[in-house]
Amino acid sequence: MTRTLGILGQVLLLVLAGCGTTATVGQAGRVADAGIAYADSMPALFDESFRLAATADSLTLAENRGLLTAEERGTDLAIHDELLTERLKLLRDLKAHALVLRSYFVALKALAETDVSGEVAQATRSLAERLGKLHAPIATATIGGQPVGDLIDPVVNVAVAAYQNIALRRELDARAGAIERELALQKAAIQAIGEQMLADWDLQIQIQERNPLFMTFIEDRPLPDNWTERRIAALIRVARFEPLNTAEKAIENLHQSWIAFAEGRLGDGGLALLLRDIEDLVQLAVKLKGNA
Amino acid sequence: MPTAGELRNETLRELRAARKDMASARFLLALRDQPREVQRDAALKQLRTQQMILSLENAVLAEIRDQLAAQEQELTKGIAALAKARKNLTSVARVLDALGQVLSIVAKIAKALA
Repeated sequence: MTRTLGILGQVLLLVLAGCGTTATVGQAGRVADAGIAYADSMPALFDESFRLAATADSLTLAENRGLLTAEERGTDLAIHDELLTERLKLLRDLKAHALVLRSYFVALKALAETDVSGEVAQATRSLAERLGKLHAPIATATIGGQPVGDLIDPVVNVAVAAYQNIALRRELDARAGAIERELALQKAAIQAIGEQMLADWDLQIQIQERNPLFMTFIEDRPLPDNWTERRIAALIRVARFEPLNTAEKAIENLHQSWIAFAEGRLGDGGLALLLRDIEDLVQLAVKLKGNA
Repeated sequence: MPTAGELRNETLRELRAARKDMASARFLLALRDQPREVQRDAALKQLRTQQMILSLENAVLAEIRDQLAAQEQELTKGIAALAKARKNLTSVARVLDALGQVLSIVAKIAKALA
């Protein structure tokens, strides 16, 4: 009997140790959700970045084509095709890497959300009953006036959560730094791709919208009725370059939230902001996929 | 002293700004009155600029891709460790259940021997 209580005491100590872990299993599940959604959104952004790069390149080629000889045209087109093919390969590699990152967050979520409490409680209860048949006092033992059998469910629930917390802490001790570096690199990738997309988008608007507006304006002819609206639209389109703002905000928040999570200081407010920024990124990815 | 990466980024910014200037209506208008050779020279320069932009952008992405690839081993280790922790968790129920089966057999044997 004393031994049984000793074992229960050890279980309770384990439980308390697990409860002391500040990066909680519930948070892990939600941070993992954000990581999965981020990784899922990246392919659409990479595809859009390629579409913008190829559009800007094609416009540049087309604008200058008339001043080149046939040989020069052929040579230039081949060089530009080669560079864009290399770009496609790089973006494919980044997409493949996003899948590995996604798998990591899926594994983190799976650990956080595995719920075997009922199963363990059932097995523990049946074990206690069998032990009771072997050693009668166990069946009638009480702790604090409660029969041992009645304590099984709550203890098992907390013990399972404690195990998950301990496993999570071990994982964070082993790899929080590596995941932080990974997310910092993702941020660098988004920044580089974002700057490229913005520059290509700006060039596209320059050639297709601002230049015609300028030429119309300087000619000695009356301005078309919609000239002002077209001008305003062209001016604000670059400033509202949604993909760059949304993606940068999402990865910045994911990076900072991961650090806060690993250090056990991620609050509900931070989590809510992270999930909102990631939701914006998901909406953007859906929109980009729809436009493709 | 700027790093190689900072220099490359600064060069990219300058090249993109030059590309934008050369594509502007104001520049094209000024070029319109120039001899054809000057126009051809500008066109060739604009295309070289575009090629350099693509090359530098590819170099930036290749560097990030390589650094990310170096991280993959850690990610894979993490995936395995998390899967193992989860497997241990789900196996607890099975272990307890199996132990219960053994105990009930022991109980029957003990009863028969009593």
